[in-house]
Amino acid sequence: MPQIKYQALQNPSRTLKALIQVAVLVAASVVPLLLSQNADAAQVTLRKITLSSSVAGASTTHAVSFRPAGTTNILGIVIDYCTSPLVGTACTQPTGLVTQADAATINVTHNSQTDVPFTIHANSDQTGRVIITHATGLTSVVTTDEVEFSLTVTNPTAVCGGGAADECTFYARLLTYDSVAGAAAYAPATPGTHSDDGGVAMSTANQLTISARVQEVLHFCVGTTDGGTDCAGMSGTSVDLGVVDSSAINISPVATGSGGNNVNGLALVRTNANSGVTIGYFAVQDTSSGKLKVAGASCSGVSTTDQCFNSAISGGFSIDVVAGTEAYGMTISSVDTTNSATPTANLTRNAAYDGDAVENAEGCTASDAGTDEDCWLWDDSGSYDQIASSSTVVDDEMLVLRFAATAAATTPTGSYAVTSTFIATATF
Amino acid sequence: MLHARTIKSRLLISIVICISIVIAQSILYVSAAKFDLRRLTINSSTPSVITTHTYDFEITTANSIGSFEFEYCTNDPFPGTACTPPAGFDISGGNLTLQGGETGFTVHANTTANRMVIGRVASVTVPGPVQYVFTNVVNPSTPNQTVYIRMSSFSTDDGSGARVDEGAVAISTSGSLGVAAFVPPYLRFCVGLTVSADCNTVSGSYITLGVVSVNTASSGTSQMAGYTNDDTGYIISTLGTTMTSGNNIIPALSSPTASNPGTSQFGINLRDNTNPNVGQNPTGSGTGAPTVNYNQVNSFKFTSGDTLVSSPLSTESNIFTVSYLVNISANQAPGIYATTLTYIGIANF
Repeated sequence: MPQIKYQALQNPSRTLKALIQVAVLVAASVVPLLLSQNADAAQVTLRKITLSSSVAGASTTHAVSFRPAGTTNILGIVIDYCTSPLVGTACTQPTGLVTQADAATINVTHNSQTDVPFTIHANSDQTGRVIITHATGLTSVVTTDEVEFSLTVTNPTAVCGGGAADECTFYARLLTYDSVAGAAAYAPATPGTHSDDGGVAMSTANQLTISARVQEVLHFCVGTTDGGTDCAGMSGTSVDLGVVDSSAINISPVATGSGGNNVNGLALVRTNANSGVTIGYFAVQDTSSGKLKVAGASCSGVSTTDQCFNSAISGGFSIDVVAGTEAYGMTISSVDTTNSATPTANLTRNAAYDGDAVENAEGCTASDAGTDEDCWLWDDSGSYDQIASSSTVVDDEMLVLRFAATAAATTPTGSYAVTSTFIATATF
Repeated sequence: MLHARTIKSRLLISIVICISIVIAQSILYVSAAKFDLRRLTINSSTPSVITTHTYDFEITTANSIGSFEFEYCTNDPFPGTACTPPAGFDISGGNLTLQGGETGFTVHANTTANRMVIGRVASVTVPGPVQYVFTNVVNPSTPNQTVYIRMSSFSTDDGSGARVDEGAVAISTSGSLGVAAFVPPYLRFCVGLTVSADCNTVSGSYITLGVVSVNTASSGTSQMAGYTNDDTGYIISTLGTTMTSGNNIIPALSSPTASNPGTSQFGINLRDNTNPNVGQNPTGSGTGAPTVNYNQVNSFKFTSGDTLVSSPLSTESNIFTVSYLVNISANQAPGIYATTLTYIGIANF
């Protein structure tokens, strides 16, 4: 029908306008639809990224964990590190942050699938945009499934403090896709169709260093009376052996009834030296002799008629002392560990000074081979002689110093004395 | 915009902040390496004495070292911090008399009373033990005091600048301990039928000579022992009478005389006799000896008050055996003859 055709043709502009109007309406409706797809992506829940280290610039592990908003298949996951968390906006990558190279395998796990080998897609970069994909991915991931995987990341180099408050805070935009192509097409401002998304904030932080200084310790004291505690309670400077003759051996502590002062010598030490401590003494010389002697008297060898007690020593070794055979000697009868609430037992007597200070006829084994015998020694040379040592720390251990003297029949009368100086040397 | 606000309103931020806490001990202000196995040996711990200080330690790193510093402080051992010098201590006059390991050092002018600096032309150290001995060091004057010595090495030759390696040791000035004893003057003397040399055992006080015969000498013995620490020695004398029975006596021999049975005689000596066979010679290591009148074999004498034994100096013990001789003549009146003799030991102190 020609009229009909003409009538149709006579209103081409109306038709065209209608068509155009339709197109506009379609476009108008399409665009919002496109926009509403980003806005309508659900948020992953319980999302977190755990850093194994917050040190700026450190190579660390970022453990990603999240739950989908709804049941979904996940074939692609985007972790986009930016200075803002807003999905769909431009992304400024944190300075210094480095992510893994393309093709690296990232094992992803959720409740019913373990270590699914996603790989870093070629569309990733190594400065913070990580796109991992897998051809079949995670299937039917439900909202209660925990999706987990780890990335090796070099933290950003910015640190908190000294500048803008947000310098150390950085974000990861997390998006899930149900297609590889979808994930591969991700761009910060145009993330494309995706299932779920969400943002995670992280922060580098300064390290906090706590330091403490433990200083070298050496407490050493010598006396005759201790207070049961440490060196603060030590007092006394002299051991009196009383009246000495040839009929007996006077062994400290000598009772006051016998002219003594009823005390022993004591040497207390405390140290934190890991390599231990040595304790020794030397006899102060008087007229070139460190013997028990009358002050100013000259000593003559092993004479028993000079005003000097012969020292208990033979060939450098300790000896037994016999009543009536002039001798003066020392031994350490025990190591007292009761001065400390946390006692150690690390101090050892030297072999030459480990007698028991009890003269009971057991004798003294040659060459200091015995222990806790009738052995005494006195080094009157004035040279340092070690009497005890430890290989480690010592906490208020105390040497009990015992002294013995017996006169010969011919030992001249007089007041005899000797002074010894004790030294502790710690090796730290 | 609406979409952005919607997104923002829905955005939940999880913040993960990690704080690394490092707990460290003995961290110094300057993180220099530590000297290892370090000790200071002092030849005397007596306050204020002049003595020798010997440093032994191990260098653990290879660095260019030009000087070492040994700083004495009473407050703490931490190099580079404030130091309280020990009272009375002075190492400014110290002499470096021995050096081992890293050598070539001399005492630097920067040395003070409590700070010893030794320097050399800097050279690279070889890790290992070193030793430095300083004499003429004046100990602190406070007794029973702990003193810390801060040890540092420097790349400079004068103890200035940054520390390379460091460490510390501690020493203690202790009081001395005196031992005293008193030896009294003594004289040990005893008498009995038998005695021990130390007079701890004495037995008997009565000698019986039996029935005296005209034809045979009667004899007996007793013993005495003595020792003294009197450097002028001692003597033993005797007091008493001859053998007496009422008004009858057996005459004492007034001079050393041989035994003569049939002649009334009373005498003693301190020898081993053959006529009669009685007595023993003196024994023991002492210097006591019978006096001449009582020191002749087979000759007997008795005079009350005579000195029987003498030692010119202090002496160990001797045992003397007194031999008694009695002879009678045919007309000696019968009776029980007896005497009591007192022996006296005397020392002059």
